[in-house]
Amino acid sequence: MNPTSKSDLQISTPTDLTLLLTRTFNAPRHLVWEAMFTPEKMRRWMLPPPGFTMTTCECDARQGGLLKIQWKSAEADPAMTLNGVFTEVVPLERAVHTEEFALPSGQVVSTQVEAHEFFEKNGVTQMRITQTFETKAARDEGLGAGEGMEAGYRKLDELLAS
Amino acid sequence: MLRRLSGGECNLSALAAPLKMTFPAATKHVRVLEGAKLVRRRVVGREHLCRLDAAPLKEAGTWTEQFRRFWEARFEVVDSILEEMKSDESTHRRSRP
Repeated sequence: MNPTSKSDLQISTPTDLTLLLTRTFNAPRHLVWEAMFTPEKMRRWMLPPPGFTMTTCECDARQGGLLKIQWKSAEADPAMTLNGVFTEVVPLERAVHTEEFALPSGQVVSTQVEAHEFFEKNGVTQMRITQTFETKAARDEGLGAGEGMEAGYRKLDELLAS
Repeated sequence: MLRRLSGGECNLSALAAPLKMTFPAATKHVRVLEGAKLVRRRVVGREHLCRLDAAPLKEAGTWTEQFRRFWEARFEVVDSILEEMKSDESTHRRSRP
């Protein structure tokens, strides 16, 4: 969609373990694919959570290819590492990769599988992202990504600890 | 604590136990939450019953709405990247002999 038209982003929870995002882009499929999986482009659109800055971005969207993204914060560098592997790739159509978020200690705090599907019609592409979590609780926490409920709880925890 | 309270009104001791907190520590927590107008407390006999007062959290925006805004902000950047890529492609096409 160009900046003047209304976004058609839809978010749903088809099952207890999944989140589905669908969004239409006013561009052919090969460009949407390139924008989603090229590190130089990802660095621009993958806006970090508040207080974080992206430092590493590697993405090889081929079968068996690796995904690695790191963020730093004022307290730690890296503060968070995302490691993933592309497990299924049909170029321009479908890409599935794993995602593991790890703390500097190496402790994995979240594991999920992310599937991207691209459908093009008349130069317009619909992208569907299905995120599959290990538990419903993790899925619900996933919905809090960005500055959602979970971040709110964390702030309260900090307030209470002081 | 708020998560537990989202299940309904709960007695303070029952609230403290799974969090491995002492009664005074739990009381302190609940006071802070009361101050933030997130929790209401009433005393019935020796029981301190706490319940979630979720209105301020709702005012702050629901979690799904924030998730939506987080992703929409990203996708709007993708929109502008795609506009640049489209104009690059047509420039290349025009410059081809």
